[in-house]
Amino acid sequence: MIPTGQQVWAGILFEPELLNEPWFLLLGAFVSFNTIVFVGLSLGKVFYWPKVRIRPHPHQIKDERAQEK
Amino acid sequence: MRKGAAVGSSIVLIIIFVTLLLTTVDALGAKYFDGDPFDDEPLAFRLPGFFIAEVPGPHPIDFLTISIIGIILVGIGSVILETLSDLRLLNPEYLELDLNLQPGPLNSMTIIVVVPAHNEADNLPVTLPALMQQTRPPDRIIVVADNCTDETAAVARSLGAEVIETVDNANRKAGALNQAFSQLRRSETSSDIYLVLDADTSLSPQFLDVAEHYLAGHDEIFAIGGLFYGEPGHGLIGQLQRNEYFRYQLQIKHRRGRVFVLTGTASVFRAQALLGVAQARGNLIPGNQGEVYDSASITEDNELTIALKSLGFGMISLQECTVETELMPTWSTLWTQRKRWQRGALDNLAEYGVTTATARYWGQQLGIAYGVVALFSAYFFLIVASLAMEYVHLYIFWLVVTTIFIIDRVGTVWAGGWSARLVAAPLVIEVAYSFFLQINFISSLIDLVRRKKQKWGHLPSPAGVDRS
Repeated sequence: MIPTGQQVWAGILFEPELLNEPWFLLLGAFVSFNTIVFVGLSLGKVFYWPKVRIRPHPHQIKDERAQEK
Repeated sequence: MRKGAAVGSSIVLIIIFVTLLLTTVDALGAKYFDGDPFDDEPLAFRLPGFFIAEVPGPHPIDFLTISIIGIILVGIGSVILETLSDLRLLNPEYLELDLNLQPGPLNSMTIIVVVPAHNEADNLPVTLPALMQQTRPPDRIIVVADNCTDETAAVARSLGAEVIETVDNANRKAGALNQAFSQLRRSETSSDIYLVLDADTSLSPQFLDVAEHYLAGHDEIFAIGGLFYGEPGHGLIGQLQRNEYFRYQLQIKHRRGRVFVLTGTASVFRAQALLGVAQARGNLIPGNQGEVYDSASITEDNELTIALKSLGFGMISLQECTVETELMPTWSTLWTQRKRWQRGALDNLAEYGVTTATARYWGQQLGIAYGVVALFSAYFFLIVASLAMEYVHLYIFWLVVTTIFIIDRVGTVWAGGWSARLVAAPLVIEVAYSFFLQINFISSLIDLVRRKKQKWGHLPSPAGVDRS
């Protein structure tokens, strides 16, 4: 059971039942999803990208191949 | 920051932290020492005036799983776009460019600094001597005096620089640099490297030294972008911009130098790369044949970055090559600057279309658009919920999420000192700043659709001269 306590913010503008309407629950799920994705992506930025050697310019590759021949 | 202010800030942070900690311990204690820690009784935070309860709501594990799948998908998407950008396939068209890409040995490199200057007589006496104080001073300094009404050219000459005065230039900085490079190209060699530097910008002392050594050891790199820090001052708006730049630097560090944009304030180029761009314009890439910069672009540095990537030239940003750049002092100048950046980026992408070189940038714009949708739906949700609910619901799960957010926001600007951390810690200040930037993004999109011309924006220097 949820204690009632002092209900300071009790439905200032909208009926509390609005919170259980399907569209609002869906919106809540969407916002929740976005929030976790944003946290996840923020944490993802903490990790370093793997070291990858930058490829030479196509001109340089061509020159190298010409030299090999 | 003064020592006293740092101590004061620390005390405030400690008080906030201890208050949050005690409240949480109190609530957890009331629940878990009540007999059964796994009952459905809510956590009750009894604060004066109102009541906060952690109610047993829908289990978050389901959408947590979905969200993790979302994160993985976004991550995979980013990696694919980044890899596409890295893959410079052997495009026969590039090979038609008449280039000599064999750089000379280290001791034969010539460093030429090109400083576009529009009424910069007040800044040059600071910038040019500072250049000569570099641990590896440049071999030549060329000031491009563009439509000046002050003594820019005379001051530059008196400081020992060469001067090129533009003729009938109506294309701002890009036009001025194009005129300079049209004169310079005839005499350059394969080991010439250029630093394009704004007249009001200061470099880290070893910038040129590090850049030269890196280029000497990495034939595949053709451009090095400066990492920009914000100048001190300008109060809250200055701190918000500095925080933004701190996070950008950290991001570039963790991306191991993968560049988003070779900043127009200070970036180094191999002469042959600029020559390649000039040759390819009007044919393989947008712009006028023979011009290094696309004068039609309002963000010429972003455009040149895409041009170089499109032509297969490798580039990097190095942590040692930093540059202190000016910040926008008012909301109105910041609005104009960001409108120009945003609109310029969108215009450039529209011009190039979807290619391997631009895929990452399209992804970035999609990310910003997603951020707008996410943030605005969150605002709407929170406002409606707070106007409808009976009492404040507090979920431990979301408390943890919020805490992670706070740690991330503060941790990513930790190097910026206490003022940076204090602005980041309450979240709401930076959320409001994000709101400002996102409205700016929407406004740019609307302008793009309406084909409204974007202003360049002016920022008078402290001496009152024009610094556009």
